[in-house]
Formats: sequence, C-alpha cells, structure tokens
Amino acid sequence: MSRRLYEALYLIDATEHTARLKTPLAQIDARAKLVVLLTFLLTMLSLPAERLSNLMLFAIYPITMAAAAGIGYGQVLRRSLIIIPFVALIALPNIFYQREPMLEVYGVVITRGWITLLAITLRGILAVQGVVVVIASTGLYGTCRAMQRLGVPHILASQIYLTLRYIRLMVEQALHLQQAVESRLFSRKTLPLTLWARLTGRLLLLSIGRGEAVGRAMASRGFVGQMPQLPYRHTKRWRRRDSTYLVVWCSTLLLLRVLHFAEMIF
Amino acid sequence: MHHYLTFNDIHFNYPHAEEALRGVSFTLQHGEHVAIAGANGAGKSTLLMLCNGLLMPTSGWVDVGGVRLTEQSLQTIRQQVGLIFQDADNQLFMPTVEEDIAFGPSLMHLTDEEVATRTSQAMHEVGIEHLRGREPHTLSGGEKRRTAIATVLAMTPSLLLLDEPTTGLDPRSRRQLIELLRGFRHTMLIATHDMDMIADLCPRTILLNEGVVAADAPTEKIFDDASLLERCGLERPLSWQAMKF
Repeated sequence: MSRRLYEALYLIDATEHTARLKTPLAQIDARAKLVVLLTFLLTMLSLPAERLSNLMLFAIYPITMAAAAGIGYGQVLRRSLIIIPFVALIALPNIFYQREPMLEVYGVVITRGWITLLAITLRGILAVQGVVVVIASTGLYGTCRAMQRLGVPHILASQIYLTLRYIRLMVEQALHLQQAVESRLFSRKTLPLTLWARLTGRLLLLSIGRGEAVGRAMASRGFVGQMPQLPYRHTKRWRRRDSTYLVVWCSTLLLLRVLHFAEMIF
Repeated sequence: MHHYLTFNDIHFNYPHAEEALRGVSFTLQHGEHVAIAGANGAGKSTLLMLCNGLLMPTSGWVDVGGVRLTEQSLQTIRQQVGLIFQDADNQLFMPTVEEDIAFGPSLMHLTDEEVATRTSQAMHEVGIEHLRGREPHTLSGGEKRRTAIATVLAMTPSLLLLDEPTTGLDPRSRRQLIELLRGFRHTMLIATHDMDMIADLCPRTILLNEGVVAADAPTEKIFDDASLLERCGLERPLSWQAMKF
C-alpha cells in the first residue's frame, strides 16, 4: 500500500519535472498546446461512432506529442487505461439497445452497439492521452496559467490548480497514516473493515487541517482567490514556432475529421 | 513614543472552545526583537495569527503601523506583516522555490521587473540562490525554513512574525538560522519555547500562560525568575544555566 502511495506521489511530482525538461514540446507556448488539445478533443469526440477506423488515426496526436515531450508512449497508454471501466460502463447499454448488424468478421455478426461501445472507449482513452501529454509537457501550474491567459475565468483556473495541489497533500497524509498503521501491524496482513472506515475519516480530517494551513499561508501573503500571473522568466513569449505548431496541428486534426483517410487507404 | 504594533485587551476564542487569549495587551516599537514564550497551547500561534489578520479578535483591537486591523485593512496589513509558519511545508505551495518567492510580490500589483528584483534579493538575503529552480518538497528542513523566510522577505514587510522557527532543525541549521535572523533589522516577534534562541536574539520577552500575559520584561530579568518560568511550563535556557553556574 505504501509503495502505491509513493508511486502516486512520484507521478504527481514527475508531471512538474517532465514539464521542465528541455524537450521540443515543453518549448511550445502552453496556450498553443491547449488550443490544439481543445481542437483534438472537439474533432475526435465529434466523429461518428461508425467511423472507427478514422477514430484510430487520431492516435497520431498523443503518440507524436508523447515522443516530442520525451515520455514513452507506453507510459501514457498505461495511465489512460484507467478510464476504461468508467467509459465502458457508460457505453455498455448500447449493446442491448443498438442491435442492428454493422459488419461480419469470420461469421460473427458485430452489432452497432458493440461498435459504439468500442468507439466510446477509444475516445475516452484518446482524450485522456491527449490531456496527459499536454499536462506532462506543461506542468499543472503552467496549464492553469495558460488557461488564465486564454481567458478562462481566474476562479476556475485557480480552483483546478488548488484541487491538484490538494490531491498531493492528501496522498502525503495517506502515506503518513499508512506508515503509522503498518508500523503497528506486526504479523497481521489486513486491517478490519471498521478500522479502514476510521482511517478514511481520519485522513479526511487531517487533509482538511493541512488544506486550511496552506490556505492560511496563502492568505497571509495576499491571496484572495486568484492565482497570480507570474511574470518574467515564467511567461514565454509567443513565437513563430508556436504559430507553426498551432496551424499545422489544427489543420491536421480538422483534415482527419473532415476527410475519411482510413476509408481511402483501406 | 510611536508604537509599531499594539495589542489592546485582546480576547479570542475558537468556536466551541475555551478562550485562547484573555485580555492580552502589549506594544512593540520599531526595530524591536521580541520573543513570545510559553508552553504548548499557551496561545502563541493564535497571537501571531491575530497580528496578520488570519484570525480576528473576539474583542479588543490590534493596530499595526497606525492601521487598525479590520476586514477592510487586511490587505494593507498583510503587506506590512510577514508571517513565517511553524511548518514550512504548509508555506511552500508553488512548483519551484523561485515561483513560491515570487507569489507574494506578484499579488502586490508590482511591475514584472520589480517582482524579479524582489525575488532575487530575497533569495540572496537568505542565501538560497542555488535553490532557485528546485521543487520545495525536495529541500532539507533548513533549506525549507530559509525558503519560507524568503517568501516573506520578498514582500518587504516591516514586521516579521516567526512561529517556532527552530522546530525540527538540526543543530547546524538551527545555528545558521539564528545567525540569519540576527542580521535582520526588521521588527520581529518570535513565538517559541526555544529558550536558548530567545537568549541569543531577543532582548525582551513576553511570557504567555494559558492565554494571559504572565510577564513582559527584559529577557535577562525573566530568565532570573525560575519560579515564574516554571509556572509557565518553561525552563531557563541551558546556556544561561551554564553561565550562572
């Protein structure tokens, strides 16, 4: 359990760390990355479910971005698989409602419901992958700052940052609690259910206390609910390469949406 | 004489709890280094948070640099009063040391150049320029404490409040911190039960006992009164005992 919590902490920290690497994607202005991500999500999610082969072509975006961000695509894929149970649960009823046959593979009839289920799951995975690569190459704070600069209400951007910050504190508290419990477990390997409930309650109280302490520290330095726009070295100027990145990727994604490349190829 | 900080008959109680402070009054002059000493639960941290407006008194009033503490004057007062918390981990919440230090000045409507200058100056003052790009949670205890101090110095406060600044530091880091604080010309209020640090830094001590000012006198005089210290759950500093011996 402690190991998993350590891994969770590592993942949170690794996000900020990879964002500071001098990779090609990290050099791109965060606003350009966010606009391209939004275009990716809109074009990919609006593609009809029947165009499954075209949908798969959208994987080009997270694969290329992961390479440009210096992250292994396997890592991005692993993280995105977490979404499968949630999206599959949403899409499951389609199997029962959409029963018209769509295609036949080696004598097995595939109904529209199965195609929809697959399409929704694939969209979920691709959407998470897109978000993961952008955050990994920009950092949580950088992403929130770019959102502010793009005109997203300050309160929303600040809330997102503080929520992410709060998650780290909560994982830290969980780790300390877990270590305290494990140190007194002796030969016992599992905890009674009632103790789990108490520990969860304790974790909530501890994390609220910690959150309040951080809140007080922020308030004492003049924070009134709006994250500051940190100036100078932290704010990249818009450059030609940002425009190129924006134009090339938005055009590619729009073409993928409008033209049916997969059908042309196959 | 012009008082920089005035506490006038301050009462404060947390919701559903006994009074944490009961009629606390004292004044601080410009440039004074004063210790607030007391056992755990004596009300030291509460008193510091009242100086900064993080808590508002139930009754009585606080005046900082001629400005009365009210909801309206909070931002003015927080620019003048820098609070350094006991747990530096709570104070450092930005992705890097530099961004954390720039956080306060960025909220003060300064130009980009001014924020950059203040950030660099604060880092220089506490000697952490080399930590500029580090993530705060990877720092040692002493480095975290220095960074926490820099986050406040960057706002160029007139009054520095330090809550148990030496807690959790190894002897060398503790000594370095004391030397650093000794060099400050700010008005300082240090809440602590590290009596040796008080002996080193503060010519005046206010003793708090169960939310009441038990004594407000020159530090030497307070250290001479062993029974008073004992009543307040404290002891003479080791250095003092050795000196008297």
